[in-house]
Amino acid sequence: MDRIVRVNMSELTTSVEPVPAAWVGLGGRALTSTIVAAEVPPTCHALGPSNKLVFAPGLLSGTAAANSGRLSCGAKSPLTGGIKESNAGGTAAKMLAKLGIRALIVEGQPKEDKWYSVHVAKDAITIQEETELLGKGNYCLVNNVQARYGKPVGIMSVGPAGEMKMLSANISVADPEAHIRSLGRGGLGAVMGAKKIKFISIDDTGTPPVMPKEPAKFKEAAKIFAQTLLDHPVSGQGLPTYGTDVLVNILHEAGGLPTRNFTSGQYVDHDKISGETMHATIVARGGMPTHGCHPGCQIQCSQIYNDKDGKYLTSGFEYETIWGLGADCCISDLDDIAEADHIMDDIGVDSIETAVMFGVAMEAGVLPFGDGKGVVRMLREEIGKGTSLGRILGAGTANVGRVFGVTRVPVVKNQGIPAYDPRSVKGIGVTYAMSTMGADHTSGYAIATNILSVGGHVDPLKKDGQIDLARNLNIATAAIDSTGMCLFIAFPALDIPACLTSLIDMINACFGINLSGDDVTALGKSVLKTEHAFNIAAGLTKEHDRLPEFFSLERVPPHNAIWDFTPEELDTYWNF
Amino acid sequence: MKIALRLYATLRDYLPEGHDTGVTLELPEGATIPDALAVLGVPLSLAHIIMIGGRHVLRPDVQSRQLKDGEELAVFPAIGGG
Repeated sequence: MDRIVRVNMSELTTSVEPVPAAWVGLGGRALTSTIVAAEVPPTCHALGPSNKLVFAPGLLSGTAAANSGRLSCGAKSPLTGGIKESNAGGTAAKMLAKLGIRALIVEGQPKEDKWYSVHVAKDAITIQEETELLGKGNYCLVNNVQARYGKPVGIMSVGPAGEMKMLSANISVADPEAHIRSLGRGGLGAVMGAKKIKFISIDDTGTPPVMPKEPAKFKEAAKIFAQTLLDHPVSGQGLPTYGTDVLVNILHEAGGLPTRNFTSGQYVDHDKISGETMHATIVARGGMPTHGCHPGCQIQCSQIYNDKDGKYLTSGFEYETIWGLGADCCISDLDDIAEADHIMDDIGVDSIETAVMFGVAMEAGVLPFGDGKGVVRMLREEIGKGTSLGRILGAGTANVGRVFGVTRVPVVKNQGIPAYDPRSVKGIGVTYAMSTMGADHTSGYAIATNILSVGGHVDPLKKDGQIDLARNLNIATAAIDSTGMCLFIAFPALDIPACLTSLIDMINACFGINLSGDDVTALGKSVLKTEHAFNIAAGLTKEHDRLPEFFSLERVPPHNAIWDFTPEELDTYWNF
Repeated sequence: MKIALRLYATLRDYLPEGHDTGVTLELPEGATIPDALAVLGVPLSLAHIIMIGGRHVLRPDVQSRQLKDGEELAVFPAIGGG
């Protein structure tokens, strides 16, 4: 029986209720954003008792559908001041779905200065005081909690950064190897820390797999869907071989690789940090070049990256992290970046926000560009330990810019701009400006069409067609984020019609309904409008749907590109 | 004329020994992109993304676009990420 679980941290009670009629048929981002919009006062303090932290598996999570194990987490973001949905792999989504939990809503705030853990199992949801693991990093925590229960329970946790309510704090999700995946963006770890929850553990023992209402139809559609993932060269070959870091070289060639705090679009040492180099390094050191972030992942774009001695160093080592510390901070040693990635996972900070922040901190002279060892030290000794400097750096890119008087601060709605220069890849610039999430490449990945020739081609250096492209991708992504599907299914979905039709067929067979493609588009639009209305009510007006001024003042080499959309042009994004 | 050809991802398997990222090719005037790729035996069907000087050359133009002395040609298979 599907249900909603509430964890009230003011009263230290839990309750279970049926799914309200208005939430039936929603999952993932559609559900988290609907709940946040319905129950969180938009003007509340994101770290106060009125905010709610909502976890929701996707519509297809827990089924046999390939790549359906993404977990959505929503709240009012303390970083952007608007609504937030962040999603990650790991084992939690599948476990929550098997337990019939469509959403787990954490509300209120403890009155006493004590920390807690929440345990979710088939017959009981309990809150316990936690003392032993306070101050501990996520890797240590995952090992300890799984040892406590004697089994690989699902875990969502915060590291020291979340305990300190840093605005860059994320929520870690244990993956099948007890490594770390991240609900990365928007400071959701600070919201969990404000609720005084160190971790949530999930035990799905005794629950059957999620059974579709029409099993034969589901099986047939799932088979077609999985085949499209294999057939497309990006999801079937490129991503499994090189991971997302394969993008370093192509963004460099296209002049869209933000370098030295967004002052150039090309990085002289690009090949040292490229996916090709990472692949060769992983193979030479006995790591794993292919690895799935959640059970049932078929694309396998993750990897296990070992150090020089062949010992595990990090996994889920993504392009945006490597770009940020690499090109944007000019650190050309992949091992330094990998070590930093490990520490960021362990202390629990968003690797995009933190890398973009270091670019600004380097421009401010806090440390020199290229100082990989300095970054590692600051992560461990300053941010991880919460020194005064660490608290400032952990407060994110926008705040570091303010504190040090830097004007070249790449953020939208206070969230750091990732990995693609909006002047030379204009479609992604529209997404950055207009996304309800703040600067977020995943919310409308125009790189596919601007750079990668997937889903056609729109010239990245021209304005023509970019607003329509970004709008359509943001709508489609809002729908995909509601299914529990990995966003990388978008690559085959943009090129192979059977991918999308089989996805809709799976949803229909799972719930015994009859959605059309138009219904799915309508769902995406509805999610965006719900989020947009929340943001407006929270005080994020159209003047916040803009890129920072420096993008319109400074041309970026090699194409000498400039950001030249007018406010009026950008506002047409919302014409739907 | 001389052009620089850079190959990426799986296409690097077509590079001659001792060349990790690309080669400089000596080509006759009027040579095209397929002519350049043919020197290394790179199948045109695998050349999913082609750029000259950081600008995409779209599929309809690939056969006819003549290379010029000093141009830099970058070729990728189908790749993605994000």
